[in-house]
Amino acid sequence: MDASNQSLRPCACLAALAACAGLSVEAQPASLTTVISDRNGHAVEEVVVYAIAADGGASAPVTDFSEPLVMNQQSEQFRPHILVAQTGTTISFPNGDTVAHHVYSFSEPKRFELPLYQGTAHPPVTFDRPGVIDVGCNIHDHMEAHIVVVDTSYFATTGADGRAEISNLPSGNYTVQIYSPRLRAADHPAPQGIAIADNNEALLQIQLEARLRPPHFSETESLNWSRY
Amino acid sequence: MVALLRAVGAALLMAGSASSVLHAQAPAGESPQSWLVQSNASYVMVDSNETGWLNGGLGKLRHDETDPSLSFDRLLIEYRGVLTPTLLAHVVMDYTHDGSSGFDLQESYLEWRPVPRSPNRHRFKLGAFYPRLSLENVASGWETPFSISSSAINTWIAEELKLLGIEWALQRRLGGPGSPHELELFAASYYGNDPTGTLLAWKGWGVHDRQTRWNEQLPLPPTPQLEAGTRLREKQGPWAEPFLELDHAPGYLAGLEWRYARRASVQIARYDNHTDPTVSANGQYGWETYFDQLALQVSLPWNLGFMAQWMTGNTQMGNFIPIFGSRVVNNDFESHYVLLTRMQNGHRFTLRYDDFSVENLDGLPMDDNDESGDALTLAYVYDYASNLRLAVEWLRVDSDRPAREYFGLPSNSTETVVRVQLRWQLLNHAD
Repeated sequence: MDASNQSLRPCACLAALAACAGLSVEAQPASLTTVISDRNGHAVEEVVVYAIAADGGASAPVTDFSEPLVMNQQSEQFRPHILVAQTGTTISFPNGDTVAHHVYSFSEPKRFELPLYQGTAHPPVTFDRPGVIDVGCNIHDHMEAHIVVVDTSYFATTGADGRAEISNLPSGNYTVQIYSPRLRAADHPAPQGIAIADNNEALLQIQLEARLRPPHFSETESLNWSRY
Repeated sequence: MVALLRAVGAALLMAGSASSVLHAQAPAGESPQSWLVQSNASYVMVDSNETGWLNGGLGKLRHDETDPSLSFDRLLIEYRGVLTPTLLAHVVMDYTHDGSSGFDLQESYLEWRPVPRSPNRHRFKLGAFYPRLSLENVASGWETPFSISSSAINTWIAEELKLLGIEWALQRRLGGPGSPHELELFAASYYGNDPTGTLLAWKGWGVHDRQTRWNEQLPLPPTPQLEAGTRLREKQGPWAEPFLELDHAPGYLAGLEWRYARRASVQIARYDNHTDPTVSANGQYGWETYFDQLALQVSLPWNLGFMAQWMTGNTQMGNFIPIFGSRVVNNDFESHYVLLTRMQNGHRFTLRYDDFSVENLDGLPMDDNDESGDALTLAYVYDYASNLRLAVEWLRVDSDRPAREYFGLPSNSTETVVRVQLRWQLLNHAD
C-alpha cells in the first residue's frame, strides 16, 4: 500500500510539515481542490488524492456500489492507467481491443486473474481491502495499471492541470494523502491535515520535492518496446 | 532434420486447428485466436552492376537489374492460437517469388506464459523461432515497421539464424511497482544452426528484406573454391541451407536486457552455435559461429527514436591447417548500425546508417572473404489504414569485396535501389 499505509499524524505536526512543503491552506468548505506540482512547478497528472476524516465519522461510505467502475483495455493499454476506488467497490475490465488480454494482479490486497478474453467475458472484480493493486496483462507485458483502493469515499485524481477536486465534503478535520506510482514509496509527502468548514471551498497546494519517475506511457512513441 | 521441422510445423498447425475447434464451442469472448494474411508487393528500381545474391552473385540487395520491376515480395500467413490461456501456438509461413521452397515455414513454436505470482515473469518458447536479438524486426512476420529493408545485422539474422529449441526469459521489475527499471534475462538452447556462417563467409553481408525459410536452399556465389571439382565442393553443395543440424550438439544464446520505462533499453547477448567445424552432411559443412551483440534503444525529444545494434564475432569451418595457422575458412565479422526514426500521425520517417565488414583470417587460396562496406537507408512509411501500408525506401550500399575480381569485376561496388512497397493485410481476423 505504500503511502496510504502511512500512519496518520497530529494536525499540528501536519501543519508544520505542510508549511515546510510549501503547502497553503485557504479554509473554505464543501469541496477540496488539491493542486499538485512537481519540483519545477509543473502540474502532475494522474495523482490520486484522498481525504480521510480524522474522527472516522465523516468518511462513512456514500459510494453507490451498484454500478461497477470501469478499467478499459484499448490499444493495448489500460485506460485509465490509475483508478481510485472505495473499499468494497467492484471494477469491470472490458477489453475493447481486437486482441485478447489476460488481466492479472499478484498484489497482496487483491490477487486476481481474468483468463484470456475479449469483450466483457468476465464479471467485475470486487476490491475489498485497501491498498495499491498493480494490474498487468499476461499477453502484453508492457501493459500496466494501478488501482488504489481507499477507506473513504472522498477521493479524486489529478487531471492534466494537476488539479483534483473532491466535492460534497462534510465539515470536519481530514488528513489528505496522495498516491502516484511515479513516486517511490518513501517519496510520498506525509499526510496533510486540513479542517473543512460548512459551505466553503478549500484549496491545497502540494509541491512534490522528490524527482518523479517518467510516466508509464506516451501517446506519441516512435519506437517499439515489445520484443518479437 | 527437414522432416523434423516439417513435423513440428504440422504438429503446431494441427494444434491450432484443434484449438480452433475447441474454441468454437467455448463461451463467446474467450476465443482469442487470430489469422493474419498479408501481401507485400513492390515496384523496384535498381542501379547496380552486381548480380543479386539470390541470383547467385555477390550483390547486397534482394534484387538486381535483371529482376522484374514488379516484385511479389511475400505472401505471409500468421496464425496465433490458444491451447490454454497461458499456452499459445504461433505459426508463420510465407511464399516469396524468389524462394526455392514454395510455401514454407518461417516459425512454428509454442509459447508458455505462466501468470506471474510474484514480480518475476517467466516466458518460455518451444519450437522453431527467431532469436531475441533484433530491435528492428518487431512487426508481424518478423518484419520491420521502420523501413522496407532491415539493417545488415538483422538481414543476416533473417538469412541464417533461427533456433530450433527452447528459450526461457525472466523479467523482473527492479525497485517495486511503478519503478521504471526492468531487467530481462534470457537464454536459449537449440539445434539446427550448424551451417550458419556459410552465407556470411562466402556471400558476405546484405541489406534487404528477404527471410530464409526452414527448408530453403540459397545459392552460393561460384567463387573459384566453390566451383565444381574443388576439394571444398566434395562435401559442399553450391547452396547454403542454414538451419540443418549436423553434429547433434546444441548451441546457446544468452543475454541480458535492461529497460527504463519505455524510454531506453540496453541489451547484451552472446550467441554460439557450438558447432563442430569438422562435420559435414547433406552438402553442408558445420560452421563454428559465435558473436556478441550490444543493442541500444532510446526515446529522444521531438518524438524521435534512436536505435543501434553492434555485433562482432567469428565463423570458421574445416580442419585446422598448420600452414594457414587456422581452419580451412576462418573469418571475423563485425557490423553496426544507427537508426533515427520519427512517427507522427501515421507518417514515419527513418534514417539508418550501416557499417559492416568481414576479415579473412585463413590462407585458403582463391577464397578471399574480406569485405568492408556501409549502407545508407532513407525510408518513408505511411499507415494509410490499419490494413494498408505504403512504404518508399531509398537504399545505397557501398561495399568492397576483393572476391568480385574472381569474376572480372571491380572489388568496389555501389548498389542503389528505390522501392515502393504496399503491405496489404488481406485478412486480419480474430475469432
